[in-house]
Amino acid sequence: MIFSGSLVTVKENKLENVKEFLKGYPQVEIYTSSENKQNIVVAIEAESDEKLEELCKTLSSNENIINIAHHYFHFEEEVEEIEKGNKQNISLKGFGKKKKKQL
Amino acid sequence: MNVTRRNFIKLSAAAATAASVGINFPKNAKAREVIDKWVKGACRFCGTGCGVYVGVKNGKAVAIKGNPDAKTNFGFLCVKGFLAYKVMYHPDRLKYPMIRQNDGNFKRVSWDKALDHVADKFRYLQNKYSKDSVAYYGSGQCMTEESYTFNKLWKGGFRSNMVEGNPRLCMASAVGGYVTTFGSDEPVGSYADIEKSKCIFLVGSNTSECHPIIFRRVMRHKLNNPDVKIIVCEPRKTNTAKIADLWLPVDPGTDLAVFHSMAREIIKNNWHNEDFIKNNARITDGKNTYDFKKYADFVDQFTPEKVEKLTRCPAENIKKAAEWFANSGATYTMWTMGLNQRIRGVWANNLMHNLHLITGNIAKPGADSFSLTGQPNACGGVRETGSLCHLLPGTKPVANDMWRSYVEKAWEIPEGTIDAKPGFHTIKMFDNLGGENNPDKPIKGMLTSTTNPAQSLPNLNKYLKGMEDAFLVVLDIFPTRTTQLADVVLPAAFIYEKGGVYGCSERRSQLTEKCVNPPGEAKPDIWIAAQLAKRMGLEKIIPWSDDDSMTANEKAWTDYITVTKDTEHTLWGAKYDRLKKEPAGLQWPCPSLDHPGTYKRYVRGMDPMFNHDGFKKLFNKEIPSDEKIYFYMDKKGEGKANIFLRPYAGPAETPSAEYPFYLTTGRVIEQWHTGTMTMRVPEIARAHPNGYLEIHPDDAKKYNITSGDMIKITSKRGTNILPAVIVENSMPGILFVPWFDQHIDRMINFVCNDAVDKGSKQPEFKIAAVKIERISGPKNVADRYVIENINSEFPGV
Repeated sequence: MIFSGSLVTVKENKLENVKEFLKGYPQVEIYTSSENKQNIVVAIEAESDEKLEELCKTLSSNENIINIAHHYFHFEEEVEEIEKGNKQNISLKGFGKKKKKQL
Repeated sequence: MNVTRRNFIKLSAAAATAASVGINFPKNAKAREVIDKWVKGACRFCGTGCGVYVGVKNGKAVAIKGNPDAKTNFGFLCVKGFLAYKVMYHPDRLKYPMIRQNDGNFKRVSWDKALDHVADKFRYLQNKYSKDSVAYYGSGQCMTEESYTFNKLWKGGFRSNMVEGNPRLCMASAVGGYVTTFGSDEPVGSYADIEKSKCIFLVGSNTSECHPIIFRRVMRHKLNNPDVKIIVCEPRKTNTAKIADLWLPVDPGTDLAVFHSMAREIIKNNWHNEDFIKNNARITDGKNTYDFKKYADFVDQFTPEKVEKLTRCPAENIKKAAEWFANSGATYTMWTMGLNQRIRGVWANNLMHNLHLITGNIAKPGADSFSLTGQPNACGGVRETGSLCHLLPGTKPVANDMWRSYVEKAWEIPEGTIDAKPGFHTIKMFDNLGGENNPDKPIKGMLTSTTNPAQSLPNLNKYLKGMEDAFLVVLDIFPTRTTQLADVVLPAAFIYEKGGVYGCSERRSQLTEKCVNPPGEAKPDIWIAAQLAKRMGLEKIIPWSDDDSMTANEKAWTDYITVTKDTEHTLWGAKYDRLKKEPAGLQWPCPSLDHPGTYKRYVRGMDPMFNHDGFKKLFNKEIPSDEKIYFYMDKKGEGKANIFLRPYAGPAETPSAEYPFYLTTGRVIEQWHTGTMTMRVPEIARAHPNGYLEIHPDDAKKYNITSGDMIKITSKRGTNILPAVIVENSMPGILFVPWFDQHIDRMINFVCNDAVDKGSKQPEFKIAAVKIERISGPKNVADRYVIENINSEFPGV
């Protein structure tokens, strides 16, 4: 699982509108917004980096969202999964044949 | 992960994000730190130089965040930066030294055995053939301390200038452009000029995909200042052009005519800055000096209408671009490989600088001609340390008697040690690499680090046998096409496992401290270099063989900044202790511990070299006290930059009856270089699982091609077979292929041209003449191909 701390930048006077829109996405949790009402601080939870990017692309298609930028990524669980060996078709064993090198 | 912990992590992430941009966080939200320590560093990818903090817990990297104080990214990260952890912990990581046996397979050995073997073999080759029979090929991704160390070992220890690096393939023309125009490498200004500019010209750069954080700054500037004009000049209408007010489409390799035409329009409409030209520049063809009228008469032939016929760039677009460029008040140009990877790359760079010089758009806020570097440390590590065949640290030529003698004294080696004759540039080096049984190949051995020439060289077929026959030692973190040809593989540590300095595009050096230990027995390059030196009796040249990488790094760095302290690249004020504390690194010239670093060169009051006595004495410089702008590295000693009379020249290959298409190549945002790291990351690989061929709908229709069909693309040199992707974002007749795919059918460098720029020796990756043929309908290509087995063969070699 990936967690990001991200900044959603919105068009003028559209802060509440975008907040309502974001509430439709359970992976996105709203924490606070800027005084100038142009930025929303969110945390996003995603199964993977690809899912995170897919979600951000979907969110960015909202005409009132100008940009989504990431500041922080937490991936402790991902590191644990990799170290447990939960990856297919990876091995340095099983040496292949190669013609002899001319010395 | 339990709910409470999940909530804490999200809270921490949000709190950090709010803090980074100065937004108040709810007082009742208590964020608890979930990380043991945050370690300051730089991003591993691209030449932007984003500042990061790596979060470490229980000795593992578990988080990464942008450094909000970093002057490059202001705390934000792109998709590649945060995925470095997956590379670090990937099961394919090379962990043990290996020597290829007689049966062709690799056998794990101890470090002592591997290093003894390499040292013995190098010594044997040097004694039997010549001191130049063993070469070093490094990388713009090595740490500065590593590049400096190998460079010193070879040039000061082995007395050989057979030292090259992969920036030869990407930045050499930019170097040539800066040196011939201004007398010194690297930009005048900084990224800070972006937010001060009134017009931004993006040329030969898909900035949105290759430098996304820089693109974000441009995009934000435009959003906040709608009157700022954005001009994009590219054969393909990439994502970058989405924010453009004006797109200049242009056939690959023909844009010199567009730049000349813009100059013509600027002069014809009297938009040029006569005073600036008179006071700060001269007109030259490289040999003779001329008056401005000669230049005006020369460019007059490049009428927009004539140029449109040559380049397919609409005349009206050229005129508009010239008007905006000249009259904005502050124009900032950025470019990268589209100008550099050409047989006339140096000229393309010169002509870009010309436009800035004739309009006075240089040496003032918001204005600069800025070359974006591709790799994270091509500037700091290779260019500035002089780790190329013709240079020494401080970017001065080996052929310069004074500088050679100076470096010999600084390195405490006997006078006459360093060879005055340059070694071979990259293409020539690999062309001369071969086995002991081949008398036509004088280079018999090579050590490569952090680069994959068996995939990244153009016209690849020509160079593979030489690599296979020679004694090849490869330092890397993964199996690659190059390890498939190696005799010895040495497992290397990754940036966050060793630390060190990276110097980015804007002359900014940033220190990454070691965060975690490398896997298995992998070692930092600097340790490997020092051990090699010890075994070859050169410990005095490289006296930093400490096991602790940060200690060794600091010694190497101190050695480097001592040698270069009186040059215009001085980082004497950037001692390690200071770099550790500085929140955003330091831009050279930085001559003293109290100097803040330099935003803008060549301007009195901003550039400390105006008052640097050591520099002026060493290089015999006199800077008149009344000069506000002075290009002090001008070879003629007049403080002027050169406006070049460069004839029009197209690419080495243009479409013909037999090869009717232009092929151009490049990167996509998710993939880095030859994909050895990024293709191992499933999410990145899924976004672009394999190489592909972008083709315009009109061309696809002619050849009866639909998206997904398998296409054979052929040049005079080689062939690829790739699935087609039909797009409208370029002009008919232009094909694009990204170069990250490792699959033997889709390594586009078999097709690319290795013709080089006469000045920079940089190959023309960006342009080849090709033909295509539909082979079949869609096929299930081997998605996300990566080389996993260290003993796998290089097909056909």
